[in-house]
Amino acid sequence: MPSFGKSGLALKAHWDTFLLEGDQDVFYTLYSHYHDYLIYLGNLRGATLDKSKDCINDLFLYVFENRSRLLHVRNHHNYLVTAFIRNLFRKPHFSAEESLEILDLPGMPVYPSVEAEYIQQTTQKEVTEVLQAYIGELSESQTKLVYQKFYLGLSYEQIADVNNISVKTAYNTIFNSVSKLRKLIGQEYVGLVSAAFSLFVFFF
Amino acid sequence: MLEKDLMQLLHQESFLNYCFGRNDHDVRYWNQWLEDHPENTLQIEELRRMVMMMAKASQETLRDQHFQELQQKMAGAAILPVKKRSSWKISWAAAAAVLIMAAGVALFSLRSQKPVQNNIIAQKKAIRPGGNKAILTLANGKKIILTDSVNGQIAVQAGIRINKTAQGQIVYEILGSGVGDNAPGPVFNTVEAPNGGQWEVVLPDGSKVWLNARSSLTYPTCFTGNERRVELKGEAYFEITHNEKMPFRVTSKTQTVEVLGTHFNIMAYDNEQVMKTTLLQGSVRISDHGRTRILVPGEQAQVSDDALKVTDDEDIEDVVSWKNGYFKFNESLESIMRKVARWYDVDVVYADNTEPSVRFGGKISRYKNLTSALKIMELTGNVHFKVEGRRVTVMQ
Repeated sequence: MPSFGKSGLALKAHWDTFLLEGDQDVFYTLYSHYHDYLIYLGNLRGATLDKSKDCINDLFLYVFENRSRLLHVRNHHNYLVTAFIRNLFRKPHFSAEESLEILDLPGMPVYPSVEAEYIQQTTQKEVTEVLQAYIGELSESQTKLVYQKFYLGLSYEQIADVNNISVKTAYNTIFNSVSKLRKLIGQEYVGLVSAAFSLFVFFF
Repeated sequence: MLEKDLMQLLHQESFLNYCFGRNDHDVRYWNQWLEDHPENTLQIEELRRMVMMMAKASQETLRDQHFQELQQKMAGAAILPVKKRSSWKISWAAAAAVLIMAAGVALFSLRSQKPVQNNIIAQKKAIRPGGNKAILTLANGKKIILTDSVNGQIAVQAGIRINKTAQGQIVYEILGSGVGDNAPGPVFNTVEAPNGGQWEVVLPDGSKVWLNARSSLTYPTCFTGNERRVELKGEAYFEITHNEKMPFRVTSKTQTVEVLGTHFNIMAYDNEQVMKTTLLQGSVRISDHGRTRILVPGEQAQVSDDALKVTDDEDIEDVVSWKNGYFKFNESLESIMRKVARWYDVDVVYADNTEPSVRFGGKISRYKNLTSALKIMELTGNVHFKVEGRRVTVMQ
């Protein structure tokens, strides 16, 4: 399975550019990538989404304010991951064993896959816009669970664990979120979608 | 397939693996299942697209919220009421917010965790920010709609080929030797960025012009003679290539700005009382009603009906913020709302007892939805908004 998290290594040029020039674009690119990967790692280790988010923001605030002091960091990926996990568990140092473990963390299931991109492209813009307008109708906790389930690809058990809810509640929240959006969008959506991919279906 | 059965699929990890292509085995299984049950193809495909789009939408929503929190930490606050000069960190924060949109990603209306002072009426369809769009009018009156989707050659006229690049620029290319033939006279084109639009034009001499919303530029497709003359309505930022032999002249309303080669911004909207020309590099000469002034970098000329004033305490970054993708305010509410109206293509009205001259400072990305932008301003507690259709009511 291709791993999303490890692809952060490909951001080395971004890291270097940010340290040298303080470039805003690349800072955002780095943030965008590690935001998802670190939340994923945090979730796997039982940290809630909000706690991970706070640690990520603290870490990036530090990077932003201290870029000239970080010039010695040549492996940004290990640096960010290690600093994040250290913050998360408030550990000033790791044992050699723990350090090794960090270098071998799992990658995240990839998203978006090539096919996901394809679907985004072949789905009419209107459909995407309608959906995006409605997603804001979900509650905060629904959005978080949808993110953990669909985007991060966590299992229902993992989600139940990390959010301290039952597997059944996790199920139901996802179920309700999808039905809520389907209802809200209703015919508007169905019509658009069928039109959008009637052509697509012939390729099956 | 019954709706109930369809929705039960959400509980199956293997189905979700199929949706996201995360596991080859599951993908094969569900493809086979669809072959055996072709009558369900449409429903399944619809559900699959739905969960994929929900994945992306939830990720973007959370990432944007979290990044916004980070920006607030970096800046202290996103927007500060009545602050003379904001620190560069605030500018940084807002500029970064712009990038949220850079990937062409839609930003959903920002949902506060607890609805505090939620005066903006929730809209089913968010009012989206402006974007790259413009209308090119050729000499023969033909109009071409420019958007990001059109690329390559868009027209040929009078020995000039007009191309549009993927980055959205219009580039003029002179065909053949250009000597002899029946040397046509100058042919004029107009590029107009409508309300909610902006555009970048590369002129035949390589000069670049960024047009802000509700602005237009008229120029010859080929500069000849002893000057390069263009006409501007509205606001634009210019980066003019150096050519001593052919000064570049911009006329807007009664004013003419003359340059040899330099970077400057002109704001000359019909509904703004003062025309402002701000110089970033080089030197420009401003003439209006027989009055003339020469600017040095960092200076701004303010032309109104009865005066031509030069000042050097304007923040240059404020002036060109629009070009860099954000609103930077340090001005009256009224002036801010005129900018908002042009970019989001909305009408602005003021409720009774509202004081449009109250000043605000701060920065907001131009690529936020209208509601998100207004919410940030509401955080000051000094102003509230109501959005109905394309009409924004300002309240205090």
